[in-house]
Amino acid sequence: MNYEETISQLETTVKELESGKLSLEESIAMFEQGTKLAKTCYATLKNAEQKITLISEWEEQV
Amino acid sequence: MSSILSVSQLNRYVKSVLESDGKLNNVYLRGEISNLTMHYTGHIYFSLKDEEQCIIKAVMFAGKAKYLKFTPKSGMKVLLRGSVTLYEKAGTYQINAEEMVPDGAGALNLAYEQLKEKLQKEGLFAAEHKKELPLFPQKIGIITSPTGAAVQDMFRILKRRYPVGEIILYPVLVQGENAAEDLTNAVKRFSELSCADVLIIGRGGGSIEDLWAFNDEALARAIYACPIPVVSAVGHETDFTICDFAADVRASTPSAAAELVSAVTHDNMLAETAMLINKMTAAMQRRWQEEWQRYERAAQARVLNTPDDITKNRRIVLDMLTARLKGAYTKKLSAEKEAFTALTAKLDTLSPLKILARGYSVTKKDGHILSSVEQAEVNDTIEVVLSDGSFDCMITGRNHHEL
Repeated sequence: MNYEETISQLETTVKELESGKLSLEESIAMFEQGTKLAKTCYATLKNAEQKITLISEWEEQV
Repeated sequence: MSSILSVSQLNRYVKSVLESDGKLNNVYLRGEISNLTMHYTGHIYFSLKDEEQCIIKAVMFAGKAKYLKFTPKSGMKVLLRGSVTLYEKAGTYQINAEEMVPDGAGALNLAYEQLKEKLQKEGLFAAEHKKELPLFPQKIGIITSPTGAAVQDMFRILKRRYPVGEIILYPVLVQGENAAEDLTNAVKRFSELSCADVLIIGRGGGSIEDLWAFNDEALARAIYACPIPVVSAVGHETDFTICDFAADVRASTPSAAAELVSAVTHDNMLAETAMLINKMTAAMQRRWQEEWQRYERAAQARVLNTPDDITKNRRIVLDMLTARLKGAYTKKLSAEKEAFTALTAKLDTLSPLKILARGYSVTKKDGHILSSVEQAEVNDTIEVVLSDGSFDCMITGRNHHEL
């Protein structure tokens, strides 16, 4: 899952939690899932190191 | 030539002289167009004059005029190739133009304007064809010169604003003879490989001649056909290139392009994640609080706290239920306790040490426990472990037992 997908899932999770329509158990499960997603997002951002590839190298990989 | 000639005879003669001259058959001429008439038949009649205000009449017949890559206008400087001839009826000599191109500084501009108009008519610059830039590009393709400030500027900005993205650099020539072809091939290659989420094509600033490669028709078509959104960044504030028009977004400089593709920066993303975590935590806390309040409301209800208010009958039922519950609980608890004790005892008897204490022993060979006589041979050394120590033994015989 890439960053965009992760963050949008996190957004959905937060929205659901905020809606208050879930049972307490569901809320807790959502919260746990949200925490995991947030950790993933943070890790992606924290470990981000710009990679620069030449097109020729990229073509070799393909 | 003593005989008297008619005018037409003279004109015809002069014409033949002119037309038989090898040099006059193939003349390159430079000048400014004046008195231009575009005849409905497609023939173009005009005069060509130079700085000294010398004039020659010129004609370009429809058969040749249709190949013109521009529309001639009065005042335009042109370069033409043709043959010198004479128009018998008027007795004027003229040049019969075969080919004509715009000349000088105006030439580039003219070709540019005309190409722009052509592509515009075809819809290559249409707003409805423009693609939106992705918010979180994973791969950013950059088509530019690997040397020079432009590429460094883009690297620097992307490193600061968007280190999550991978940059794929396609080094090209951005000026000179092969530049336009290079640029076009690069766009096509990215289209084929589909190895980027957004493309930046550009170079640092320069004169209009330096930027010329970006006014290429094939390049414009490649950009139009490219499925990846393209940002054009031909470093010039005021001059737009054809590439700028064909691209999905135009940036004034390569640096501006780098900022455009990193609209959501690293800091933004961190902030957004933090914001979402805060929201999530707040929502969860609110939920806990609500549940707690709900519980408290229920616990404080009059029925539960003022027993006098409930009917005696109910009170008795409640007491009975409570007693039963308590009894059941105690019973259950003691049963569990007993079961637990029994289990502990059983575990204890199963302990290997307890078994050894009862007179059994464990036989090992090379540290492995033996469970069959097949696992050792006569004369092997084995270890026999008892509860308080062990023997080192040598096997002197082997017997099978059917148990």
